[in-house]
Amino acid sequence: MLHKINILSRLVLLLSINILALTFDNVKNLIILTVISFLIWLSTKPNIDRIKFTALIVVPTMWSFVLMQGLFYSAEPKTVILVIVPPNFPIIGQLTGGLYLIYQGLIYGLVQSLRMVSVLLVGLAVAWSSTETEVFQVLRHYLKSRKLTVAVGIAVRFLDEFQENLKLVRLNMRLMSETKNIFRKFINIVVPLTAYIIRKTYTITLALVYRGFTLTRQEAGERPKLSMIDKILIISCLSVALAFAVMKILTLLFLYGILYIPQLSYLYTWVVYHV
Amino acid sequence: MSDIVVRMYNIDVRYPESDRSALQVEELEIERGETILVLGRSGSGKSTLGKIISGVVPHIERGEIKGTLQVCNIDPRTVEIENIIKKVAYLAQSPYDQVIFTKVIDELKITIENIRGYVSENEIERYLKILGIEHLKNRSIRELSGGELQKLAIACILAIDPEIVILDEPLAHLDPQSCRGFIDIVKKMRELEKTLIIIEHRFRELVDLIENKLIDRVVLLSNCRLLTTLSSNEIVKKLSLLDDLGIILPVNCKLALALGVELISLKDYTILELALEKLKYLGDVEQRIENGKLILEVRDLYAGYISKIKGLHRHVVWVLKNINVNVREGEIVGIVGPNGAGKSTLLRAILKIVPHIRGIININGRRIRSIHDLKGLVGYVPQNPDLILSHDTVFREIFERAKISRKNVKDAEKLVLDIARELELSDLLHRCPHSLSRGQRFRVAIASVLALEPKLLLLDEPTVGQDEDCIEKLGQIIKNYVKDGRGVIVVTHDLHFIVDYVDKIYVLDNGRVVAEGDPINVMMSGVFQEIGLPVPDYVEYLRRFNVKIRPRDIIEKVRLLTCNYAS
Repeated sequence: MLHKINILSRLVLLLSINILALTFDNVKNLIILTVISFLIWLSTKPNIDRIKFTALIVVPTMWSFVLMQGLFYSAEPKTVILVIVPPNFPIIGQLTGGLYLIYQGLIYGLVQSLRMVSVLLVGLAVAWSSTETEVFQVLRHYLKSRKLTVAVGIAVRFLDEFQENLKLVRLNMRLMSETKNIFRKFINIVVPLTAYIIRKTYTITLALVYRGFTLTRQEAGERPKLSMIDKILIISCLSVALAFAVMKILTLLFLYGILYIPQLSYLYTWVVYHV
Repeated sequence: MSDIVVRMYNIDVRYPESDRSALQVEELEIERGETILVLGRSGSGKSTLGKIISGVVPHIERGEIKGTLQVCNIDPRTVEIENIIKKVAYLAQSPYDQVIFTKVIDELKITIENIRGYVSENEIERYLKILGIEHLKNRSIRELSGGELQKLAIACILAIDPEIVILDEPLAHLDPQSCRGFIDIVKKMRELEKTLIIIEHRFRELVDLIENKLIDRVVLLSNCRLLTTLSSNEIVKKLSLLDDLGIILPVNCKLALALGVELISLKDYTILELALEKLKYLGDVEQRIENGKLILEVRDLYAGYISKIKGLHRHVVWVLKNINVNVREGEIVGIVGPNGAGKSTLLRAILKIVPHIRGIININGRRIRSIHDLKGLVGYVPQNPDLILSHDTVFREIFERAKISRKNVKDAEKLVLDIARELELSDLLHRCPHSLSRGQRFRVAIASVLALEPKLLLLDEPTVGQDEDCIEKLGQIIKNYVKDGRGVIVVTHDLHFIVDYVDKIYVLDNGRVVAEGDPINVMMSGVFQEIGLPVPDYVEYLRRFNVKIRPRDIIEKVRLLTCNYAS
């Protein structure tokens, strides 16, 4: 589904999820956001490898965030829900003052991990549903960067070749070297690859020069037209995300004592309790 | 406006790190729309000629140019490179490095946008159509052959609309099919009335161009000097001059020189008929007997990669199917086939770097199960020699490997000196490997692999990007190497190399072995034509006379015959 909408809409969607993830502090909101992100991720019909890849990133991240915060939460108040190492336990207990699982820490860890996961899921979905041509389209037409377009183009184009060469360098090292010296092993990999990169850079430079990339023209080109669905999607995503962001900023300004607008008192209460 | 687009008088080019002249040209004028072939052996100054016309020297590479130089009424030395590229396009050797983006459409779109600021679909199609590659518009660069990539790079250059197009060694990285397709590129350039300068030393691959009158003049260079210019008609009469300059000639030309006969044209193979008639009285050619001990045994080999994953099911695409290959002691085995036939995958499967392998690989009677089992038995030289050069001097590069095979330092040093002598590297032992020329680097890479004294040597496309001198030297090196009861596998597109140096070939098509045996026998059997691989011109004559003999042997026997007559 995601690949059917314009690359710009996809990027706006990603940006909106980013803004909302930063804006929300309420666990319920973050869970809803993560569920939406998960549905977007599911819409790319991930295969088993992608599912494994996602799980490998998401699960340890969530687990470590929640557990670390649960164990080492430093802010107040603290509600201990489990004593892991009592303070009177020999050596460790005496040194650390005890190790506890703290309720507020778990919630804080959950909030942080949900923020990250929601953005990560949409990020992966956008990456998997976008082609290289679409990425160049964005760089050229929206970011207006010719240098970046060429740099990204070259990186993408020669990444496979670089990986292949790295594989061959390592193969030859295994076939032709007996050194156990880590520094020498490092040199055996770095020197051939550096030589390869330098020579490659020269030929690519020649290709770029004679392809007119030294000409001083600024990036232009007609922007691709957006469909009605894209326009609606972009406007609604940005509206929702920016609305929440503005409400949050206003509330923070009030909470820090910088700006107070009496007419917004109901909004402040709503944001503090529900956003 | 003058019709002369390039004027050179008393040109002398010097590179900063060298005290000798890199190119001297007394006088050279090139007319608008001419197609010029710059011919000369490696190091004769061919590329320097292209680089000074295109402004690479002095704008990108440092160098001093003395004398009068005018290109499209500008002096490339004094104007900015931005102004030169609107007049002259320069395309370096490898077509793989000329293409920057990952899709054909992106390559053209971004190039044209970069020049004009806008691009329409029609314009993209127009440039692709000029070179007959409009069907590739939405294809990925990875799927293109060398010839198709070259056409794409030229299509991009045409978007700038330069007056002069310089192609520096355009055939160096092409397979035989793509080499034959190069003629179409030249025809198109002539139709577009571009001045085309082709810098090459592979004379054998250029015969069709000269014979079809697609080359107007040939500029001959020797020892960094412009020697003379010849019209395409004169070439056939000046074969001895080309031979003296070290240009490798086709078989019929060599025979004409050996027999002292003049050819009507470069495609005149009646001389071969004459030679073959004479050779009939010399008896049959010796057939090689396979009696060496088996070094490599590949049995029922399947190798492939994962292509699709549906649900929990992984779909492996078998690039190689039921492959059986043997290499015996003293044997040089060639693996040939069209692009995508699985040649390189076979080499990788032997090296155990293909993710999915089924079947049996035995080396020296030992079952190979992992890369670890290959250590000490197999040496591998990749297409890019730089990938195995990691030491600061040539000596160290070879010595570090010699230490593994010899253990004793004195023995290892002796081995280094012996190998260096054989590979003509003795004078370069103190040099940094990466500062050497490509041919020299390749020899250092081979030397360092040979220092391990492996039983089996694997070479992946060793002739790509090499000059003819280096190829000849390589052929001799591996011939000497297998004399000590070792074996070599060469994966190559170079049929001349196969015919000259390889004892047995395996022809791969669609991942299967479709033919095997003596190279000449296989070429004459018609298998190559069936799978779309072009064969050298002389094969047809060999078939007609039913003589299974290598061109190198024909020439040697003819030379012997003429010597006998003379004495």
